[in-house]
Amino acid sequence: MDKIKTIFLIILTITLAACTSNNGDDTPITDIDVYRGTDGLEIEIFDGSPPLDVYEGETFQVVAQLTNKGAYPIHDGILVLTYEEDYVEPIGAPVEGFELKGKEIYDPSDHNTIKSFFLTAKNIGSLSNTHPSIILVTACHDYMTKLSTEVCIDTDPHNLKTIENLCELDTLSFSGQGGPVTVSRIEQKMLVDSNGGVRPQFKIYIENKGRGEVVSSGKIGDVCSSETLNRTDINGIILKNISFSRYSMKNNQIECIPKNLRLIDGEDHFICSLRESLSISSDRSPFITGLYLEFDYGYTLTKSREFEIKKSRK
Amino acid sequence: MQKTLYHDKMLEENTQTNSTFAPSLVQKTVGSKGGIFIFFIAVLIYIVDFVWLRFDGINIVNALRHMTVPNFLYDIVYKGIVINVVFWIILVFVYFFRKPENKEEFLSVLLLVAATFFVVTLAGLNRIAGLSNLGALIHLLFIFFGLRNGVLTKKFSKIDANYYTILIIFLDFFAFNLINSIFPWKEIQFVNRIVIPLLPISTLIYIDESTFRNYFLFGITIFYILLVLHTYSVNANYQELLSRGEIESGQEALDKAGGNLMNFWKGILTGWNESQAIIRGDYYTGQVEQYENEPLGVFLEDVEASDEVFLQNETITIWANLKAYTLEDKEIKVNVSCALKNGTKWIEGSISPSRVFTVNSYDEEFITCNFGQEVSSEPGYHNVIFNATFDFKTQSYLKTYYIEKERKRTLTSQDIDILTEYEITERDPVARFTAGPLKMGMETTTPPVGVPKDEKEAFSSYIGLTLDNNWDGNVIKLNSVSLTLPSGLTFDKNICTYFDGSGSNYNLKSDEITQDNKKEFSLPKSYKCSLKLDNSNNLLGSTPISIKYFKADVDYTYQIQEKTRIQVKKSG
Repeated sequence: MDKIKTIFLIILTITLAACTSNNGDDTPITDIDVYRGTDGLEIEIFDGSPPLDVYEGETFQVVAQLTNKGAYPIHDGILVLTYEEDYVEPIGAPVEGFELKGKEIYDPSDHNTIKSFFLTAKNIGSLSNTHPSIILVTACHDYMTKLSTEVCIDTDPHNLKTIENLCELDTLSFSGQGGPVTVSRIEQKMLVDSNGGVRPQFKIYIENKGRGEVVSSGKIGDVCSSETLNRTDINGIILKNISFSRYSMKNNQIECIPKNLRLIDGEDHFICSLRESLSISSDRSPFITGLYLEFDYGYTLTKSREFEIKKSRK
Repeated sequence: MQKTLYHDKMLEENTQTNSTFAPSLVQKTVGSKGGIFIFFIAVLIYIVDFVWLRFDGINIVNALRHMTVPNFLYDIVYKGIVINVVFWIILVFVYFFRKPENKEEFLSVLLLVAATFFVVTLAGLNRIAGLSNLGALIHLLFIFFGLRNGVLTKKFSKIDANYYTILIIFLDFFAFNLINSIFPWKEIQFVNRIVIPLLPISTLIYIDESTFRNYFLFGITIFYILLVLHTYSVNANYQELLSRGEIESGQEALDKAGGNLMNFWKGILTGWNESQAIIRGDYYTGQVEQYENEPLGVFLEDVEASDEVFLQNETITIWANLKAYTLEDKEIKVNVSCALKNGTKWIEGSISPSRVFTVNSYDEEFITCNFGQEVSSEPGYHNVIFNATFDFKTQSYLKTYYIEKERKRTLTSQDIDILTEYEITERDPVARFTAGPLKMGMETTTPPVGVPKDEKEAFSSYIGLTLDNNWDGNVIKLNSVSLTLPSGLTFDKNICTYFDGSGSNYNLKSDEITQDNKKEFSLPKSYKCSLKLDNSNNLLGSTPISIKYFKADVDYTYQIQEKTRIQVKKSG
């Protein structure tokens, strides 16, 4: 009996350990959907560049591969190398620009580029045999996220009409739109005004699901340098546009608070409502319409690599 | 009779309800051989560790250095235990299938499983890659199935056996590294798992009494007493001394025991002085650089007399090996002298081939010290001392990180850990010093240090430097102390009055050095100076975070001493 219980436990443990978590991604059966997932730019420093050991006076390379795994292009990205000035000297500028395409329907593969920096190891001191050193590769770039989904405009939120509603208000959840900053969910509400008209209201939750930090769009030059950064420069998201049916924020028909979001602990939300003067008549039947959302932000992430400088044998 | 009945009763109970795995093996070893088979497994594991696996436990101090306390609690405790599905499955299994007799027993099981998962998570055994940590896996399996199931449950109640198992897990995985981290004195470096084989000793203590066990325990006890009395390594020279006679060997043993006790006491005193300095806030710590080939410095080794006994009016000859290692191209001059204590007087001997040696990179010299016939020592035992005095240099460096001040405030206010953000793993760099007779520690403001863009804005930082003895000899005098600051920082000369210099390079003022040398030069010695921001662009560079170094060089004269003892007999 003991043995049976033991075998049962082992099988159960292995079965549970083999289970992998479901991250909620829905794999499309038919169309390729590039606007999914939470990946954006990734940095990989190649093994051997820098080598684990370098010698005093030796010139070596730091090679980094930048891969855009998101759905949006990167223009004017900045890559900067941080090094220990006392022990290493760069050959050439330790700053590079980069551009990368995003995934497209007709080209859903990741796009990458390789950047390299040349460095020379300095002397480590007459009495030292080795010196541990480190390099940091920091990327800063502007990015965006777009969301396109369907929402219900319920003109009869209190179910006063006898006919059955075509749709119901629901909280919409999302797992990613092809970038590190995502719309995680949208809560819908219908505001009823005094003349019976309805104004849709959307509470849109934004989250940073990537490994890096969100910075304000247009500030990446300062972020990738030693310039001052203020509170407004970090975690800033600019809502570029929101539209549904024939209404849009660009046309001043939808009001959003705040327009420029600041993430706290990696998340926050803004509330967008149709302007009061544009309320939808309750005579109209409830209907489903498309909701489109776009926001801009900057992003930064860093990868580091350690290596050793050894005394050169004379 | 009662004992036997109790033992049989335990065996019966445990055979029925216990022996979770390999019951026949357990029964065989406990029932017939009293656990000696398990003891031999423990010895085998000890040999395999030493020869192949090199298992040395988990350095919890290191682990805590590399992650913040919240990260540690989250990754290791919360994820590794609290929300670990396997942990809860095991507990449910125990509760329903093993049916603990009472709450206390279940609590002991819960704590044992939690302790195991704690170790499993830290050792990485919960990942496929971590299974290559074979040493940790083997130790854990032995402690559970060998020691606990095979030995402890036979001797104690299940509750006590579980708690003893927890204790042994923690001692085996954490104790040695913890002791060596908290007390890094060379005097107690014998506290390691090679000298103290924990698993075999634990097994031996708890297995059934038998002639074999008693003799083995006795043998181990004698071994450890001898080890402590006769220094940490046994060499042929010592063996030779033993053969000189009962009085001499007794004297030698007492001397060495006294020496070891003295070293241990000196270690306590050094630790006390250091801790006083630490409490006062003026002891800055450092870590020696790893040397690949040989340790740096000058050493006197193999000091021995040319004969066992000397007659009065006979020339007394003492030999020694002088070894020196240096990485510098500059030559080191070593002055050697020797002296014999005759009554209350010290008589200087003559050194050959020379009193002065010039060493370059590596040198080894065979030195002879002679006391001529005219010395006429009195009969009896006499101490002979060899002195080697040499100039040496120790270098030290301290890494630190600088970031623009507003940027630091902005990131910190957003709960962004700056060092984690930039993937910097060395979060609190420790000063490193080159090997040699002196050790150096340095300390500055906790990094990353915020630097204002405008030099006129307030900037507060400091650098502290401590010099301390690393060997058993003495610093005779300081020749120079120089400090190099990161570019962009200078000393505030109005406050820092004992350093001279400009820009980034400073030297301890000569009258400060003379003053130190006039008084009996006592270590540890500390210096602390506040820093002034001279050029923020130089300090910050053009990158989001900059990595800079403080460097210190100390030139000094050091003296080492080695002693031996000779016997002089009446001539004729």
